[in-house]
Amino acid sequence: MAFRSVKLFFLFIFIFSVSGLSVLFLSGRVFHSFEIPAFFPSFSPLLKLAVLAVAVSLFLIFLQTLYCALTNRLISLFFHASLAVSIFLILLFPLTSKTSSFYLYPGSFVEVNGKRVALADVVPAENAFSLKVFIEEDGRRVTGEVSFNSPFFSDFGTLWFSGVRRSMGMPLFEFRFLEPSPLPILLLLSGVLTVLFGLFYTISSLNREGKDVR
Amino acid sequence: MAEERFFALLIILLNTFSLAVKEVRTLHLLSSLVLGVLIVYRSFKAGYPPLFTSFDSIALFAFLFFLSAYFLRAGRSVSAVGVLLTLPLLFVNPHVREIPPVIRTPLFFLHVGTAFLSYSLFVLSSLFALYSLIGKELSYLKVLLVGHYLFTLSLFFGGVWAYLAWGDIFPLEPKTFFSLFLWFYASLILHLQFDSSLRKFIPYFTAALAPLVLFVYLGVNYLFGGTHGF
Repeated sequence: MAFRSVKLFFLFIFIFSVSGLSVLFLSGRVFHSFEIPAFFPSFSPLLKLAVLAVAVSLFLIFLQTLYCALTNRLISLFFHASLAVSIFLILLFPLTSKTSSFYLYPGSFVEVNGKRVALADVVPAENAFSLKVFIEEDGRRVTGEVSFNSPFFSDFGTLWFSGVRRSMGMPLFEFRFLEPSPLPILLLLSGVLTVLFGLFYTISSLNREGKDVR
Repeated sequence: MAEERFFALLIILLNTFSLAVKEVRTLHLLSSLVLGVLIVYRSFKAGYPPLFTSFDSIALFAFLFFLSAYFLRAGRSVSAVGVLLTLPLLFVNPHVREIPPVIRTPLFFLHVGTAFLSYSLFVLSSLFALYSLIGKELSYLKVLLVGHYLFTLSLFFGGVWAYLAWGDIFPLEPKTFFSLFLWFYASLILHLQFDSSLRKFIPYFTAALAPLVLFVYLGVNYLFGGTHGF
């Protein structure tokens, strides 16, 4: 059976390029380097619309690929299925996750959705800083450490340290907090599966004799 | 700094010389060895694997390009492209910069290393497609397939790193957008062979990959900035 999805894929890439470039232009990212200010302030709803449009197109195209893969080899089916799930989760993550960004001085705290997030202490470390933090909810407290590339994972949520600046002579630390979500771990699993199935699929394609890669 | 310029000049001379000799394969290997020595020298000088500055990224890209060219038994025209790739090393500032804390992770080197290797394979498959258009049949799609897998791996490592560093899996910014476009574009080429009416366009689409890769690799950061423009 001929892969009818190829033309659809072609069309999808065209839609993806146009919508992606539009989002980049409208968000002012492209003009930014030429010092022309962003001229479309209500960027967020547009971004959500663009992401949704791309998500629907993407999901449809991978469903079509899956349908076609059913007539092909099993490894191809597994690869495309895990790839579809991964891309779907990547698009779902920013739309469903509840995140907050805030700044904390050492010894201060902030209330986020009924949780108290506090920066207890700052310890100099090999990797710039190690920040002692705790999160409290309903009288229960979890303590941990955050540094660059090393967030604090807990049952109450995940906390990242994303930068430091000075304010009124004091160091001010920037944090990002994510409410508990199963999506990151699901995404990691589907990502690992995609990479593994992709490896098998690539090797089997390279070993296939006769015609060039299939 | 003069040492770095000497290495770059040596590679350029080697490959210019290769345009006049029959055995270019050895010269490709020699060029990759010289670039390898340059990268090791820079690693000791900087105290970390050098992928961070423009000079180092160009050196690594050229190293992988010549190494791939050797293993794929590429011809003389690849030497000419190699000279063009190495030429910026004579002009780019080879200064060593302090590495930002956010980059001090193995994921950065895995992400960038696999990306550069895939870029070099994409450029080679593009050149092989050009050969095919002028009559010399080469299995450039196999090179593209390996490059595409490595690029998938690079996106995976990049996603894991972005989550650990910023809590964002796929930040919407110019570099990520154009990288995703490049990934889709390479996927499209690999799928074109399944459609009999589109199959004839494969070499043209593959040949267009090299300028696209160079734009994603060099052009996007300089033009648009973003989180990838450290």
